[in-house]
Formats: sequence, structure tokens, C-alpha cells
Amino acid sequence: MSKKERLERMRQAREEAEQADQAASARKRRLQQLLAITGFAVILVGVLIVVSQGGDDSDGAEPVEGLFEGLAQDGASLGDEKAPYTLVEFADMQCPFCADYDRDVLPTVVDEYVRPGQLRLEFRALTFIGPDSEEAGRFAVALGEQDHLWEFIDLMYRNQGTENSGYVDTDFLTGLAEQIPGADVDRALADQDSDSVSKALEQARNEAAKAGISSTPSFLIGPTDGPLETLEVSQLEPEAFRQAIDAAIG
Amino acid sequence: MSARALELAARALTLAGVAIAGYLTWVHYADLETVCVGGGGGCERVQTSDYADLAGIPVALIGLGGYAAIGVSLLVRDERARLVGATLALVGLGFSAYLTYLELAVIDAICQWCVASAMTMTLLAIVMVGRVLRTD
Repeated sequence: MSKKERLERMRQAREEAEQADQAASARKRRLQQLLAITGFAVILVGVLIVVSQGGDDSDGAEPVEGLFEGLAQDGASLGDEKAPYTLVEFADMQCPFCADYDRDVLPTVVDEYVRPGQLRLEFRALTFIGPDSEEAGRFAVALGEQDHLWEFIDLMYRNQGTENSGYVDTDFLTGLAEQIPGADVDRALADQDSDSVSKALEQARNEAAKAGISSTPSFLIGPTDGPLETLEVSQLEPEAFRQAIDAAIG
Repeated sequence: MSARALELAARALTLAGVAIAGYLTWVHYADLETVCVGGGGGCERVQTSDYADLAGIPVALIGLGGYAAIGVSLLVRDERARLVGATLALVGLGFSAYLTYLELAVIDAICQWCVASAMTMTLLAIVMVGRVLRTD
């Protein structure tokens, strides 16, 4: 091999080594970039999750202050018994969408329709989700016999736990009811297994079946003491209910 | 996978994502019921849940913005745009995973459109990362 050929081979080898170095360095740089953007993405997703959870303040929240203040309650009804129209709500207190309605829509319905005397609300406790629904439903109806049903269901929704985890026990119910001024907790605990409570729950089930209700929350609306029809709402938002109620009551 | 194939896949997946998120955004603002194949009301439950909004902004609109931003990054041909696109796709992947967890564990309902978007975002993240790692 001539000297010239040796030099040429050495030059080629040097160039190949340089190219390999460059490729390795580029790979390393891209991997570093990938690690950096992955770390950044993880942080950003964490922030999004925190913001997302920040909007859900239902757990342990206080009841809407003054929501029912000054409104008449009679058993399962809320508002003026002479109101021209009645809105009947069928709900399971373990149902998260019922809690959404309670938090997002009910204040609007109360302020804009019940307080002005246009609408009277009726609550029908359904218990299809499971044993905790039954416990909550019985206690709600028992408190309804003391005309405190509406404060209780509001508290129940705001403290909703994991479905059928057994969280609706005597301590839980007592803790909620003690927050209701004027409620006789011991009496409600004694009444929750009474025949009148069982009958009210059975009647709610029958009414729901008769109306073809298979999901909660569902609503019927119509003239007070007159025929009721399904309130069709597409979303659990105040505006959707305003439109549906306005259409139903003219 | 060649660079050309990665580009085409990224564009197709971005268009699919824009279509899905665009539909869900339209349904939200038009106050319509989501078409849920097979019924069951899962889409409606998810779309009306606590988690359908993020700081008052519909999650569907955020998704649409994310896909659109990835689309814009695909139009710019430099390394920085590739990194931005991959970052957006990874954020989308992480947030989609969180939303899917919420559907399964908290909301207890599955929205087929959300699942379709999550799958699209997963594939898109793989492709976008692939574009970053390619050395040719």
C-alpha cells in the first residue's frame, strides 16, 4: 500500500469517526430534548388536573346559604302550595348528576320560579343505585315529615361519597341533619324505618314507573294538581331549564 | 417509519382529532345531544359532568385548541416546531389519560367520542415523538 493510499484510508477513517460522533451527539441531544419536553408535559398535565379538580368543590361544601330561607316546606314540597305550576324531581341521592342539578341549576329554579310563586317543587326519592340510596332516601323522607327535606337533600348532595361504599350510615346522616336548624335528629332516626316512610318511597317508585322514568334526575311539570308531563332538558344547566320551564308554563 | 410517513400520519391524526373535538364543541355550544353509538347516555353523562369544563372552558374546546395548535406546528418545518408539536401531543396524551380515568372511576360512564379522541391523541403523541427522535 502506497503512502498516498494509507493517508487516504486514514482520512476516511477519521471522517467516519467524526460522522459517528456527530450522529451519537445528535441522538443524545434529541433524547435530552425528549426528556425535557416529557418533563414539561408532565408538569403541565399536573397543573391541568389541579385546575380541573379545583372546580369541583362539592365535597364537604357548606349548603347554599339562604337558598331555602323564607320558603314554605311541606313534606316533600317546597314553595307556595298555591303556585300555579308544580315541578316534580325524581332523584337518587347517590346520583352525581342529581348533585350537579342541585348545585348548578336548583338555585336558579328557586330564585327565578319558586320565590316569585310561579312554581312549587316536589321531590321524589328514588333508591335504585343501592343500599346507600335507600338509607339516604329513608332519612330524607323522615326529615320531610318535619318539613326539612330540602335542606337535607342539599347537604346530602354536597357531601356525596363513593357510590354504595356504605358511607351513608347513622353517623353520616346525623352529622348532616345536625346542620339543619330546627331538625329533630333523634326523631328522624326513629322515623326512617316507619311505614309512612316506606310508603312514600314505594309511591315515588310507582310514580316513576308510571311516568316511564328510567334515569335520574328526571322531571315532570304541569299545573298544580293537574296532569304532569315530562320536562325535556338537554343539559343540566340553568339556561336549559329556563327554556324548558318557560315553554312548559307558557 | 420514514419521515414522509410520519408527516402524513401526523396530519391525518390531527385532522381526525380536530373533527372529533370540533363535533363535541359544536354539540356543547349548540345545546344538542351527543350522538352516542349504541345509546346508553354515556356521552351525555360525561358531557354534562363536573369535569366537562376546565376553569369554565369546555374540555372539548380545549381539545380542539390543542389539535389545532398541533396542526399549526406541523406546518412549520423546523426543529423547534417539532418539539412544540410533540410537547402539545404529550400534554394531550396525559390529559386524555386523566379524563379516561375520570370516566371509568368517577363519572362511571364512557363517552365513545372521548375514547376516540384519547386513542387519536395517543397515536398522535407516538408519531410526534417519532418525528423528534428521527435523525435523518
